[in-house]
Amino acid sequence: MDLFGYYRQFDDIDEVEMNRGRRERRARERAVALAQVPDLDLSGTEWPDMPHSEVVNAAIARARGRVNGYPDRHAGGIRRLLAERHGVAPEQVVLGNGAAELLQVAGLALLSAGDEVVMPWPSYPLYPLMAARARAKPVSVSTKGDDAHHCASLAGAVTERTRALVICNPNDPTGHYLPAAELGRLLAVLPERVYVLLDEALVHFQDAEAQDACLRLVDAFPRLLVVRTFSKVYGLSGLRTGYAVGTDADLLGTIAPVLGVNALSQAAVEHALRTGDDEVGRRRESVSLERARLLEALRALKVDADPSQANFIWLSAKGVEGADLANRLRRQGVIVAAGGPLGADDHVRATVRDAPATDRLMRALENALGPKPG
Amino acid sequence: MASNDPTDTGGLFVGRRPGTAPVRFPDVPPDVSPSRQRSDALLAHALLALELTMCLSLFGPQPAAWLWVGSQVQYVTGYVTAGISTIMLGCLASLMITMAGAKRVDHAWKLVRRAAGHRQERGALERIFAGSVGVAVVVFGIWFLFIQGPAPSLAPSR
Repeated sequence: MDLFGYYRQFDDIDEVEMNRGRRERRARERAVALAQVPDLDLSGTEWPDMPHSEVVNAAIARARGRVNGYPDRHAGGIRRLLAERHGVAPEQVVLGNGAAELLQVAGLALLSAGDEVVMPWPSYPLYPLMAARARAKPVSVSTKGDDAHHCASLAGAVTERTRALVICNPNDPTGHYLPAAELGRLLAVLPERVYVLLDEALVHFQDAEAQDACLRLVDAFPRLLVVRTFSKVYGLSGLRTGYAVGTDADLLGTIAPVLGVNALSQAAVEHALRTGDDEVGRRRESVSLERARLLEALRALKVDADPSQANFIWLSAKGVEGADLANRLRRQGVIVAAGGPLGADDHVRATVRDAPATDRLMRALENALGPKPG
Repeated sequence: MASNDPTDTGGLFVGRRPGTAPVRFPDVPPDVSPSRQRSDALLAHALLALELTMCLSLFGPQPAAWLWVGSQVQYVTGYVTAGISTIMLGCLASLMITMAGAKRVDHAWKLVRRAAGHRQERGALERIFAGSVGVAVVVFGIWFLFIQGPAPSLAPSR
């Protein structure tokens, strides 16, 4: 290289040349993308798509405003919207930093060392941890049979030390839904000291009865606290927002975050509540449709799957451990949650998504297990 | 596909405002020795000095040279107009030629600075030119006020 050539190499790179390099890189990436099919992740329960862009814009617009000041600690606007929606007074609604946080704080407020917390099992793994954090004892109840038997098992596990029942409805990971009538009967037979924490994080996906059927029981049963979230059907897991509805003012005051929920989450949630019903309806409908299709299609395979009212199905294959089944599906490019950490070693939990995902899960199961004989 | 319309993004620009893209140029090759980079740094200083000299020459030596040429033209032709025209056109031409040359030197300075390991995105010609104007104004002021003295009508010396 001559002297001038040496220095010329440091000249500005031409935009055309830059774009040529970018085009070449994009072509390479596209070739790789076409050659490889990415794994399909069906292990989580949150909504797989991004939230509606207008909801995100609402949060961004708030971020560009007065974030140097505290947000509305009482989240008045959102509580009014929720109260109107559920037909309760705004004072009966508390907005918190996610349903899990509200449940945890409620657990800490209600439980003392040595108290018992009754919960159906398998269920959401947070509940035993929640009890342990409050130095209480988790009492897992294996619930099988019809709803009446389910409730009878739970009521039968209540002892002198029982202070709370935690019920996930629809249940994660089984997808079982306890109807309001059965829940009402269970609440009626529980002793005065026992609270029921009803986790309705997945309630938007149930189509067995009205969305608020169980929530309406709060007026009749002051010891019922219903917790919901914006993490699932609203697709706002990252914003950590949920709410509780109840009638025990002391408990509601205790579980409310001291300085409220952050301004960005409030803006997004308020916008989602004002404009998101159509989208939520579409999502619910799509899950309901695919869930029914998947459950129907699974009959042709060597798997057992109970009816589900959530956005996932809980399935098992005779003679195959859950972890083994999860690994076999993984090799087929489909990731599901192994049942061990969720409470049943012989099961896996697979999320219901769209039609292509259902087709792919079916193909993977077929390859992993083979078709049903006969 | 993300929208870059600020009305869709809560007032935020998605992406970059026009004309604010960073200048891209290759990094110094890893096999360049530190001594080479030091010599490039010295060369860059020399080029900067040359650039400053060229710019400063616009405010003294070049007009003076053209005044001399103009006087010669007037002497040879016998026309004052020819002398004045030569001075004006000559100053203009040499200004343009000098600036074109200075621009090339400035570009070379930028490349040599990059070769010396600096992230030199822009040239220095604008700043050098502005600096040379400042120097010229100060020098002229000193000459005018303290050496030559103002014209008699402004401050009669006797």
